[in-house]
Amino acid sequence: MGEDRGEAERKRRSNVRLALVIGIVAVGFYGLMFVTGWLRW
Amino acid sequence: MSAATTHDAHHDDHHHHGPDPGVLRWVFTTNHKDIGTLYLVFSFLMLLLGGVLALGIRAELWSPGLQFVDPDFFNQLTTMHALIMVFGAIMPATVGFANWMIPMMIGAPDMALPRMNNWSFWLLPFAFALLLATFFMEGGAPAAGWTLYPPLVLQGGANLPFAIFAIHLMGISSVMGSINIIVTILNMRAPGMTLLKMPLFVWTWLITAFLLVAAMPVFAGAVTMLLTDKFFGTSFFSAAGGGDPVLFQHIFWFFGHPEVYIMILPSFGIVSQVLPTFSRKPLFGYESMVYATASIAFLSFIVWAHHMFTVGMPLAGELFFMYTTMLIAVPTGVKVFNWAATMWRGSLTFETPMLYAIAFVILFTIGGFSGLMLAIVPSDFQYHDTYFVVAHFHYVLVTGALFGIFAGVFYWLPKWTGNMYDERLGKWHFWLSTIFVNILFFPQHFLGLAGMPRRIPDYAVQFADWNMVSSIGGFGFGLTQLLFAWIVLKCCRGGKQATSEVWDGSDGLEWTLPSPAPYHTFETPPAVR
Amino acid sequence: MALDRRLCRGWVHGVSRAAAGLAALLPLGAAHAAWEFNMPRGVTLISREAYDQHMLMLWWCVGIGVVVFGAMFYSMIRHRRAAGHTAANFHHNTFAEIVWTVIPVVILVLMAIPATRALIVMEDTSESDMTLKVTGHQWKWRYEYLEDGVDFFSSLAPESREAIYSDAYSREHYLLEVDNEVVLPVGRKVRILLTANDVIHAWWVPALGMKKDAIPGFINELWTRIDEPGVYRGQCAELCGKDHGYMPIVVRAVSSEEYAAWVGEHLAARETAAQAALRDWSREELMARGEEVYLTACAACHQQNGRGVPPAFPAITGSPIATGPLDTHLDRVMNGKPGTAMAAFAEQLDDSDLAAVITFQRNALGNAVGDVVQPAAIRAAR
Repeated sequence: MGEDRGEAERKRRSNVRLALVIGIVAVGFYGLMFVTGWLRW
Repeated sequence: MSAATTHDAHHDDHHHHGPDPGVLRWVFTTNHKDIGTLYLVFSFLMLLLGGVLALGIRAELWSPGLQFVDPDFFNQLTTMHALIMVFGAIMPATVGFANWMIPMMIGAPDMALPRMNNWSFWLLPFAFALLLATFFMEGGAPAAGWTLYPPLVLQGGANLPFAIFAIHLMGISSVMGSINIIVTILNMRAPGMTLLKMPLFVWTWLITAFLLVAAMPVFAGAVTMLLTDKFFGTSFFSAAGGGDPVLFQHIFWFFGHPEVYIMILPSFGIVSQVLPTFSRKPLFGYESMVYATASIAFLSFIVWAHHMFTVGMPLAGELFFMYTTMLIAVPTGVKVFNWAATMWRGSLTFETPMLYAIAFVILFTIGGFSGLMLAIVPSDFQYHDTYFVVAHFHYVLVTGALFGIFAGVFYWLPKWTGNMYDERLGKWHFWLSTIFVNILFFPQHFLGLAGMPRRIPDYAVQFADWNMVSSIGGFGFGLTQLLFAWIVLKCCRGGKQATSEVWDGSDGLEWTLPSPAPYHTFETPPAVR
Repeated sequence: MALDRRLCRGWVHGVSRAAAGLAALLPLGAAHAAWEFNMPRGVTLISREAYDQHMLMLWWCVGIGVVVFGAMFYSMIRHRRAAGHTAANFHHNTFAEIVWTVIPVVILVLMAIPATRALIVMEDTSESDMTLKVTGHQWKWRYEYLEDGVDFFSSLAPESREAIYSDAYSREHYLLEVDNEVVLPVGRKVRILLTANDVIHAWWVPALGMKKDAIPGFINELWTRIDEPGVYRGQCAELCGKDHGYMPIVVRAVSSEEYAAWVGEHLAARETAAQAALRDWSREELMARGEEVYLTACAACHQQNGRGVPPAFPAITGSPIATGPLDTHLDRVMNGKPGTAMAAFAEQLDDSDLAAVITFQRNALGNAVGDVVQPAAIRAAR
């Protein structure tokens, strides 16, 4: 049972880590748009 | 499969593990099935609302002259119809399918991030409350088209910041939803479920989710710059201040073209599940379907300027975007040929989901043909911004994306409710929808070719006849959707008990679960061959 | 009540036309002009290129459609379970996959070659004989003939505007008629420069075969050489606000001699107008002229009765500007209000017209300020 919980926790952390990475990429795309706009302006 | 027996044993007492009673269940739920249902119900309400706006448009276009609305309100109708249908109806419906089906198809107990899942959904009602509130504001709703081109959109009044904030919320919702889907697919598959064993629906959603993560922030950035141009003195898109109004169009369509694939790819996936089932034959060319989907997704990022051939690009630019756009026909063609080959020498039956899937393949292909014609720049100069374009994108989005969604609903409804829907009514819904939708949109090709621009409330008398035909189709198609609501309600309330497999040709993990699927499924991962 | 009657008339008219139309559909030869379903071939090299590409692509698509849909329907008929067909079990065939990847590529190349050739011709604006500058305004077009010095605005014809709420069918060219037509000589290569004053518009005459956006701060160009004399109609093709559907384009193509005569008349009329602006006008003259100007220049937004469509288009009746100090009123009409649809009319109207319309706004539409504005006052304010 203890091992199971450890496994679940590991899985949860892995999920959150991956989600954060994708989220940061998304925010990066958002920021990139202002760079584009500013360069053209 | 062992998983199936485990859950059959649980079936009788699943109420003990089931949802909390009462309304709060839906507010606080972190269950992927509940959230899937919420998305689907919400999207259907938005479909009806967007449909009512469309009927307002078709009523005004019934005959030349102005009868019902003034031109400014007409522009509000076209703008809001598009925003509601794109962000409120089609996208949430496909997310609803993802929530319901992906965990069941890959043998996962739930989505990877259930609380974020809840939040993703509950942002939407608030986003649309904001957007719809603009109808009651001084100056009314946004009226510059869903493409929100400056400088026109900046002439809008109080509605602009509300619409932009609503778009931000929708964007956050779909990016969070996509993150959840990507993480679920990459991290939560049952042992043995390798990527190339996943059902095609899961593949199309994985690719869609990546498109969303890349495209929605781009749109959010573009509308934020509109906001600062309007209220904070920047001139990103104002020529007078040294900015560039065309830049907005480039950014918008850099988002906008992937967006159309975001709407269609999940339906590709649904159809790729339905056709093999009712052909009683495996999907033809599974791997090439995956590669074709990925190629379409890649190409969608390098074709955006075909939406703006008349904007005055250099010749080299026009040629580049013409060639890349034409290239999309190759992977799309592969998909269509594979679907046809799946049916070929099968043992076909024509239940409602199959009818919708076949209609999808044929009518989407017609939309693809007009898309190919639109790619040819010399004739696009004539087609651009006419009803030919309106006909084209309604063929791919209504008879494409929406018909795919209908196919999916009829296909999985017995799995969701445990009851078979009324097949006779389902067929009525199919035939009425298919006939009326073609009366609605096919004449719009003629109108566009004859020279009718889009987004006009009133037209020269030579366009009167086809417009009236189109309006007749519009009202027929709209009313037919009430029948859809009735069929689904009836199925939820009862009907012939569905078996686990539901369809005799069905194949995949979701069909190993009892019908209706228990509240919690695959808490112990199934074994995948 | 008025709305009811209008509705009735529209729908009754509509239904009777639908019945007539359905009847016309049956004998397919009896083509009614209104059941138009293909692109016009047009009267320029460009429009014929567009048409040829269109028809070529259409037949390619029909051909591919027949093959693909034919195979699907064959399968639906022959491979039914109801017809006793049992399913084969194949699910992969590399050779087939290669075939239906390569053949489309070949077809696409066959499509791209003529399209590229046509596009190069269409985009070649060099060696033009004359230049027409077109500027999009909300909701009218300004035409400047750069060599010949002709310069005017072109709006929806007042007769069409009146028919919007009464009977569209009373006008043969409903919404496709203007007060001032663009006159172009046939057989000469005209370079058309496009720009806009406020928002993005698009200039499109289907018979000339090309549309292009008119964008504030940008100059786009296209060209045309009209082969046959005639009247060619089109309209704005990019959503530009409330009256996007009401900014038509009418091009009258005439012989070179007629064109030269038209230029002469136009310049003479402008000289007469300039002379008229130098004298004092009577109140009656100003009010009469003012009403005409109001109907073409103001009524689209502020409405014929002056009550506007608030808040976007404020009322003139009782407005603090039209009933307030004259200076403010002059300034608003001449310089517009940036960021709104209120244009700067100083460049659109001459001194007499501005004086007349301001006088009209102050003394009609329910206003009665009592003062009179002379063209001289406008000249001084410029």
